Amino acid sequence: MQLDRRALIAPATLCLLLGYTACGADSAGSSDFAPGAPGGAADAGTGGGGYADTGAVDTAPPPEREVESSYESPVATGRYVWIANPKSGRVAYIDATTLAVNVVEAGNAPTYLAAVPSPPDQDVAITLNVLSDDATLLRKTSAGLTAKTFSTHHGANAWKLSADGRWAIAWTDAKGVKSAGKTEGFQDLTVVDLTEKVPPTVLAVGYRPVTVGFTRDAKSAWAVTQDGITIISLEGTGLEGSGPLVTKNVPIADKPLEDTGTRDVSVTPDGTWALIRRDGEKNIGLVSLLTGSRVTVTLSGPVTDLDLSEDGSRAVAVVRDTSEVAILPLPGITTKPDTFTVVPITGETIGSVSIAKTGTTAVLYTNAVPTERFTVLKLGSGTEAPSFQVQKLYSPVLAVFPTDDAKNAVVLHEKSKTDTSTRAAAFSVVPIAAGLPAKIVGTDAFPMAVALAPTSDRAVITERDDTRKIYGAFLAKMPSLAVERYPLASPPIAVGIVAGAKRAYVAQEHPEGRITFIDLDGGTARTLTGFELSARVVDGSKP
Amino acid sequence: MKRLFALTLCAMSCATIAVGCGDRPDVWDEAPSASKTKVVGLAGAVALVDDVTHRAVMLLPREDQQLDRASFPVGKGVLRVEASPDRKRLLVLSSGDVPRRTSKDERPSLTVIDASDASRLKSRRFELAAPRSGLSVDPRGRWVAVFAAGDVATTFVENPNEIVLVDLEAPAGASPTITATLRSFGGRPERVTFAPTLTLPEGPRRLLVVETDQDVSLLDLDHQHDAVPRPEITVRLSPGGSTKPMRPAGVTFHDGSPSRNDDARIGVRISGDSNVVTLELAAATPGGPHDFSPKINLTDVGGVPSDLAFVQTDGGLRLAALVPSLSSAVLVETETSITTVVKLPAPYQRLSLITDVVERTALTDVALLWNATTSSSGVAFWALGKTAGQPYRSVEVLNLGGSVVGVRDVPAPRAELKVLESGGRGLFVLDLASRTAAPLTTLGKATVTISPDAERMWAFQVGESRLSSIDLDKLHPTPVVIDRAIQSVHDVARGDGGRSLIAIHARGAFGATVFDARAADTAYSRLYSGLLLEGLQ
Repeated sequence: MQLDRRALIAPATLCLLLGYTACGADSAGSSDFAPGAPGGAADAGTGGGGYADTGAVDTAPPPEREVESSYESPVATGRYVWIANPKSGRVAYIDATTLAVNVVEAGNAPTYLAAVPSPPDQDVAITLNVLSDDATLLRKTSAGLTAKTFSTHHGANAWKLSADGRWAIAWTDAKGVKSAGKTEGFQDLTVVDLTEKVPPTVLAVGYRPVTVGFTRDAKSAWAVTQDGITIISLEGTGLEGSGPLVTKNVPIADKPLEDTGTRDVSVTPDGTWALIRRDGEKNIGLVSLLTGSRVTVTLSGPVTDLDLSEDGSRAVAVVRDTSEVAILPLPGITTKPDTFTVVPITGETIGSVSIAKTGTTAVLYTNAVPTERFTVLKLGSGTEAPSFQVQKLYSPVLAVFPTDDAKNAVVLHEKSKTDTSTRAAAFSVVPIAAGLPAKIVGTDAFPMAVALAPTSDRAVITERDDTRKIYGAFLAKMPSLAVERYPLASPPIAVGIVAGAKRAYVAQEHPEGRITFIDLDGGTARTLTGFELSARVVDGSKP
Repeated sequence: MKRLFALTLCAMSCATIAVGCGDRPDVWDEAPSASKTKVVGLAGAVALVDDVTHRAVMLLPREDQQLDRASFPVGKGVLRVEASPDRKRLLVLSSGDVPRRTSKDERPSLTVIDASDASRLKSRRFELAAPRSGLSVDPRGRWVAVFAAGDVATTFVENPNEIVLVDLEAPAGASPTITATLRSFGGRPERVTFAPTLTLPEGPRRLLVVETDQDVSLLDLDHQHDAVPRPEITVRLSPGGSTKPMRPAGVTFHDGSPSRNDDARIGVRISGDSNVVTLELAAATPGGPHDFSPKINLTDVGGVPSDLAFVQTDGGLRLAALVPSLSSAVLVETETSITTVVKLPAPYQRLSLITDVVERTALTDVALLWNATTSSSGVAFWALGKTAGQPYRSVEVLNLGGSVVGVRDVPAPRAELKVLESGGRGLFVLDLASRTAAPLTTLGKATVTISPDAERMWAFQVGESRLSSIDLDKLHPTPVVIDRAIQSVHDVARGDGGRSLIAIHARGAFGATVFDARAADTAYSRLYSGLLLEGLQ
């Protein structure tokens, strides 16, 4: 059973806290990067989660801040939550229904986990063992748990899994490497055939990949790098026999030798087109990953954000200077680059866009300047023209997370400079489809992460303040907008939804491992601390 | 006539010679001694367990300070003698003949003398496969656990993890003794505790909790008579990546909400460690050997806790841990592991819940805190309700001018009284209802015996002849003159409804002075001597 990826969304608030702006989201195949920036992170001049002081000289607002990227530890499969313990070499897997904890030996220092798409009767996860340079595939079935080890290249710290669960790519995300020197290209990636028909293959791609993906048919993979997009044929035939093979590199700039600035690359799910946005440019580049051909779409001003719908049928670009949104049909736009729909959002400042999973609705907002509103845009289809409505809020917007069904949204707020309340920040739960008022909830600490249930009726928001030791999680119920706070005993590090168990989990920092499960229906919370102790309960069921 | 006298004299002489030349019972070879005699007070009798004569002499008071005596054989080599918690049974653990050379030599055994009816004492003996010196008695009276305590080596090689369960109420056809060897990961039992009846997912259940020097085992007592007894559940306390021992230092229990059957809990304190462990006994995954499974939670309370108890607060159930190093109590929310620190006026080390005594209808608990190390700490009442700005309602100190090292309960109907033992010369009678503490000074270190009818207590000094009766109503002390050194005193029920005080003298073959407990008067007391010589053959 594959968990809906939106259920695992946990915005990289750490990036916000650290002042990063380049925490690229890879769930839709998009990424930001700044060539030449150590670690791949670009400093856009804002930090600490606050607003940039724009000064008196440059009155232009700063770039939009990307906060919808994912944070992938621990991971949940249909029924289980998997948590790696690099120190003990074990992976704990918790049955989110019974809360029974078990552990399994992995390799040396299992660290990076990923959920593997699998049949409903299986829960499968894979972990990178960073000291033994291998990966352990863990498969839980009714018959028990099996483990299989695959070798990987040295230094891998990220995973990408094909939708059919056959292929896994272990790669090195430079953002996860501290003080990486310029000569460290992190160009190796290991393609692992989880069916073991093909042995693990180490391939070299372009300089410092920032995201990796698969085509929908899982016959090819791609890596967005600073040299372009490297295309990998998974069932290719080369001099070393059949197996994964790098077939080409598609440049994504007209002058690849020049510093091209920050780029935002999105790849369509079928892997045929890459959409490229550059900060400060009004052109959107479309590059065919099959032929290398390029198409340019010119908008009315610099494009501040670009998002691709889940099915890849359209992209939405935002031009903040003109408050316009361009809806680009795919693949039609590649042959008719002048044919797209422009929707003026009159009177609103918009800079960011997030398309709901349904693909019919997008939310538009800005976090570059304090704005206490956001826009809900119905993208229209067929004869239905796009339309929008503005949603009033009571605190500046930091990020907006629409539910999968686009009926509700969770908005994270920052505290405005004029806000004299004692609250640190806030979030709002907004019934965007019903057009009802938003419910704002003040928080004592900064909201850290959001998880949305795939059923679209629950959201979990965590807050964290290490200085004042305030930690908590909020369960928001929709459409009732009832919100309940759960104090946490230790700092939350990740939040997610275990759909099969109807529970949310909040993983926390604790030397023995700590996780809180929240029943999405009943609302009861249950904290487990000491996973390996739980797993060391011996009940005599095994000889 | 002369001839008859001569024949009689001759016959007596022959008889005397015959006796003198025959085998004399071994019991005459060794004099009774205090070191080989254990004295245990029961509800209606006092037992002198004599390891020389291998018998328990039961002293049964009657009216007019008379004392009936009855002897019951016990096993040889007495290792431990205890009374059951209700003081109706005497349990004697014996090693038997060591080494056992002939088939007639005794095996190790547990002798249980039922003294619940003083007019019909009954004795049962349960043979054991190996001698064991550890004994734990079920507060409910049904089970006895016999195990290797480690303090007494009984055999050259012994399996410390072998526990013998004796079911004193075994169903017909079932063996009353069950031997279970706990699986071990290197540990050995140090404490064995019978949990109160806990409501588990499949119904009420009795558990035996075995604390070893590194883990905790739960044995399902209700399924020990099964054709295949359920194995124990072992909770290993060490995470495995560390050599630091995680030695349990005590357990506490809570049955959970009355409306739930999946939230019974066991709290475990760890020796020298700031973590406390809670085991929530939830439903087990189907298919396993058990119908419940412990869910473990680990919570750091900031310092090494000296005592633990589950308490009810305004916010729900909490595990209260006293942390003397912080002069604090830490309330652990069992569902979430969230801790709340409550600063205390002194580093109290012990905690006793007194809610039933002081606020029977209260929804939140009241605890008595005691045994602080500071000289002026006394005791404190900790009300666990909540007021604005603090996570408790009040902490009220009763300054006694010294620390309290022991708290003795007074039974119903005066359960509101507690007798506080200080380290020095003195006692306090604490009235929980009025929150007063009346001091009683003594000339020496006093040993206290509280009468089961809660009307009086007796204070004496071991080895001395000083004895006083203190009326618990008026706290009026009455000296009782006694001629001999006292080893112990026992306030025992008589068959006629009265009560007798039996003061035991350990000198020689043991003696006893008997008083009417409700009107102790030397003029009406009786002295019995040579108790251990009576009835010998």
